[in-house]
Amino acid sequence: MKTLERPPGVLSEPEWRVEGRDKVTGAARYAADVRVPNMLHAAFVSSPHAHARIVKVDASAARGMLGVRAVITGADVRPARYGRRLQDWPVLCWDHALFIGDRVAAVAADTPEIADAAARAIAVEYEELPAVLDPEAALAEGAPVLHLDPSPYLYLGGKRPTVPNANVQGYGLHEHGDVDAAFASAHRTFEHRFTLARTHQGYIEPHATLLWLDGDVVRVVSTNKAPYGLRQQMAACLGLPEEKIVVDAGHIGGDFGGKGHSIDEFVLYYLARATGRPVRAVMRYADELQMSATRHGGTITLRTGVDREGKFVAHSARVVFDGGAYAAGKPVATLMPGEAMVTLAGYHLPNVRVEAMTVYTNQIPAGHSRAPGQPQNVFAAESHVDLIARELGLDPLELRERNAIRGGEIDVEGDVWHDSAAHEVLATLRREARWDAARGRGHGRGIALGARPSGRGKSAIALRLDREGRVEVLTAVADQGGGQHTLFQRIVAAELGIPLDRITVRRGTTENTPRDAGIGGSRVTPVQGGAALEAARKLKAKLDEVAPGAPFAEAARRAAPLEIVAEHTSDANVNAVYAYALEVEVDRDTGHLRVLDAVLVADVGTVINPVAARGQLEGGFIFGLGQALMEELRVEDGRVTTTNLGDYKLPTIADAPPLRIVLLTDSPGPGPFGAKSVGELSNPGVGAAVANAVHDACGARVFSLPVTAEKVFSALRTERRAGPQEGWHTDAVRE
Amino acid sequence: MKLAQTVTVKAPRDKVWGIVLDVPAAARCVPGVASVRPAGSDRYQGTLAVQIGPVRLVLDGDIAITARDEKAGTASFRADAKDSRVGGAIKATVDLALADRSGATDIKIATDLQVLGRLGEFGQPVIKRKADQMMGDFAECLARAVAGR
Amino acid sequence: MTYDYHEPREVAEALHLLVKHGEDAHLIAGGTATVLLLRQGLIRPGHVISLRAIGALSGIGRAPDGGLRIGATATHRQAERSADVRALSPALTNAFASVATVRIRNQATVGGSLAHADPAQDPPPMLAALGAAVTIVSPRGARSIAVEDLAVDHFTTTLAGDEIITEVIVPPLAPGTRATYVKFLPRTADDYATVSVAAAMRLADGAVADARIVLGAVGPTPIRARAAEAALAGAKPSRERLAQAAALVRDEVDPLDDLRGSAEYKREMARVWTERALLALVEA
Repeated sequence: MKTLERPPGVLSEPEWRVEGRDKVTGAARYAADVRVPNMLHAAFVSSPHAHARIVKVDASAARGMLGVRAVITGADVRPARYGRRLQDWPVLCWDHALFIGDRVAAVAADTPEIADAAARAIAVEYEELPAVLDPEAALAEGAPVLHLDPSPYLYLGGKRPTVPNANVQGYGLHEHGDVDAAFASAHRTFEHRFTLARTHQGYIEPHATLLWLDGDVVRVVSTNKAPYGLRQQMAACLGLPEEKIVVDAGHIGGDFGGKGHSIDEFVLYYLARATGRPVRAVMRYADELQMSATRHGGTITLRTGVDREGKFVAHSARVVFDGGAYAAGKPVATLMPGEAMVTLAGYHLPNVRVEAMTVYTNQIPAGHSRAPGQPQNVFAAESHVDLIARELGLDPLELRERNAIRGGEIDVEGDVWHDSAAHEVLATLRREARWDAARGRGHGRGIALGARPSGRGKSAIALRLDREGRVEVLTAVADQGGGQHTLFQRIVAAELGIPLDRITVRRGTTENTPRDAGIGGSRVTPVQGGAALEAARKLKAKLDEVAPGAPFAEAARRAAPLEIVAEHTSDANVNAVYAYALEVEVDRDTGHLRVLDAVLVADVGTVINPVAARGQLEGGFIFGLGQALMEELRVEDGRVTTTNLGDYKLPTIADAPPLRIVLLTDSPGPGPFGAKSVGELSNPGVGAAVANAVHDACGARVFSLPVTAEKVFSALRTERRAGPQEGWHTDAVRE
Repeated sequence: MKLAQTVTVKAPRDKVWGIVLDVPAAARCVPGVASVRPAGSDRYQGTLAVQIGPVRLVLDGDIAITARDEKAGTASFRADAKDSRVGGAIKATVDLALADRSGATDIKIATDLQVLGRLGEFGQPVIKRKADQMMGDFAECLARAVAGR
Repeated sequence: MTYDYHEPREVAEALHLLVKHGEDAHLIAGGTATVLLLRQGLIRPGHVISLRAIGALSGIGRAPDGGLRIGATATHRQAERSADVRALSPALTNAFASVATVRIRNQATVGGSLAHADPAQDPPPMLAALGAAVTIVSPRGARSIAVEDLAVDHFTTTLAGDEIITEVIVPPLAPGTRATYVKFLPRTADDYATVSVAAAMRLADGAVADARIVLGAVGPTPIRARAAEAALAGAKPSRERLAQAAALVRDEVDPLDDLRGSAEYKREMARVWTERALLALVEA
């Protein structure tokens, strides 16, 4: 194990958020707060059908209404399609509508009320087509093809990987070792199938945007957390040079993976062009829940063979995600959620075959949500491992200890880990959660193990030094709540050895900042943080050059004004490992479960923002609890029926059980001073830990998320009647 | 959403047939129907007022007879109506099947109802309950109407 | 969303406006329900008449007969914190305190929630179990109706378009009356109930002299469990007897299949929570 480069003292103090004062005083401006003179308001007409051909759009009545400045339809935007990687989502549909909520017309008017009334006055004639609402139905032979000719779709950055079926968005098949032979010789083999609900990110701030044309420059105020990404997508979609688009994304009111995807920005360009005026749109929350890119639902089938010692000798998996009508919300090259292929994270697996795919259906499009693909896969994996332990008569923690990955061993993706904190994490969990102590009556304990790589990517940050020794950090990164700006301030302060109050952080637009990869994929600490550190190092070197050996203040006086731009790429594949132990109590008469206690052990490397790091882990836990216990975008005949946050419930602090976090900081990460990413570490494991604890408490096994009271109740009834449950299949023992 | 009702009418099948296919007469049995007037062969226009608590909908649309087989005693209707205040529409297909039952007639009504647009954002389970109630009232009223002729 | 906003100071003035604007008018008190309906575009009134400035509709106090008068525009929070409410029935305090979050309770009014008639609300079943009535005025005069009879369907009451709820009257409780309110919340602490049970019972000589059981969230209105009540009348409240009575509510409720549970699950939960409520009363 590498020895850790210990961080300077400033990082041991709890941080003050640099943007905290603006947020608590209300001075912080969010995209929906921005208003400009002559601004118009947009409203949209969307398809009420899951799959339909658009026969006719009659907008004559809307066009004649007082205060209506423009009405546009699919014919006005054809063939523009948008998306983060694959641009397959029409700005407005012109021939087919592929889900309930797909837009077919847009209005710009003097007030939101007029725009809304005009949108209601637009008559659209549809010819309904058979809807494909289930991924397996979409994969079946003879299923209607939802995207008849994808050849003109732009794919940003390279060439779209081939897919085995026209209704597949993205596909992956990974194999290493000799999985068939390993299964054939396995002592026992277990197979389980799990079902995952489609969920929403649940940010409080809805998507909002304001767009206007300033000469030949398109100015966009947006909630997008990756402004350069949005600029690239808009340039490709609208056929404009990137430098003619300026994206200004300020404070972001919650992200959780949902703010990398923009929808309104594209159509507003056409409305602004048609009217010559600024146009603004703030998404209704009902639309957020019905048309923004959600977390993927799907089914995951896992099969694992073990030897006589309970070691995993063979593993295969089939992951089928419902991608919805468009792949546009997915930024990664595979067009699958980032961790779609990681079906058994944190284990040594010598023989593996994993097949994963995202499938087109006539449903709400799925995209990225905090730790994309992981809550689904970790739920399946850690439920599966727990069931195997029960079948083998082994303590669930011990089975994990026998299989957790060590340095030099190979993981499910075929990567060899240089070192691994997995065993230390499990040993710490056993001790801290008092795993070996007796459980209370009616109580159960469940654990979940997982791993997640630190973020990768490329970014740049600029530093400006003035004669008073003040340093300005200039970044394109907004603070979406993660504490990014504070992080940059502290890294620069630590490296330069100067007080925090000498350093200000300024966020700029794509017009005046260095190019940046944006927030996402647990990237900010290693990538943008790395750029901040690199910039500070360059500045220090420059000062040493100008004034060797001089104190900072004097060197600054001599060297300023000085501007440093530093680029940084982090592509190291370093995993952070975490494990949960949860204790629950189950009410056998109702199936209601209560989480009584939770312990999270997380291997995080060096901590730069102690309060935010803990905040991210705590917030991730509650976010994970939501998906574990209650969150589900219900869909009936293709229509989302949870259209408000009263029906789609999110947990609040009143629902948060006690959580104890134990941080392991000795295993260095790729970030500044040995930091790892924490933002997506604590949400994926909660679902499995809950399901495992419920099983331990009362014998009921729930094979799907969320683990609702009614599901536990039904499973208890089934268990009483005995016999195998749905989704449960164990092969005969092979002696 | 799918709804199903069955009522038994003390009248022979041919008499029942005559009434259920007299759309303006049958439509009077739907609570809230204001007017139904012919608009071409086997097509009718009408207005339906529905109230769920404070939410008042005025659905303007048409009904068409899409299939009829007197011998088999089956008929199908299609209704499309729009509410322009809230913004939304309903679409329904109604399949009627009449069956003799020793002098009386069973009327089976199978409805497939779609609530489209913003209208559908108002609790679907409540809408379903309301629609179920309305179709139940319709069936019973139809039975009374037949018996009264 | 444009409308004329009226803020009358007197009930008579509010009635006058209500009559004048007819179907184009909508009353608002706390606005927690009405504003949502407005924002969703489900109602589009031309005139919104606020009741909040009418002093006569506010306040909570003991009635001369030992009962309680809760003004229609008293907030849930005021009711929850009222010593008079607690003195009459801690269970009623609990029902008010069970509503959503403190932010909602600070805004939503007691009369407004009764007029909105969402069957999943907390106070109406408890008020009905305690035999409360509402006073209603219109240009034709005043009338009183039992809370139990006010709601007739989802979001629908017997209130005519020109009527306003002015107060809720809770009668004094007969000595020895015990009451409880239980709410099953399997999702979040601030959710609507999956099922709620309000029960009041008076024991005399070891037998049930009087029992009222009203369930919330399992029908188009709060549901009075008369069969269960009848099964208890005059009986010794043994565990078996309570369980038998509770089992009868399965057929008295009429729940919807929705995201808070299937109808079948809610029937079973209605049984379980009725039994728990009854046990709590007997073992208190």
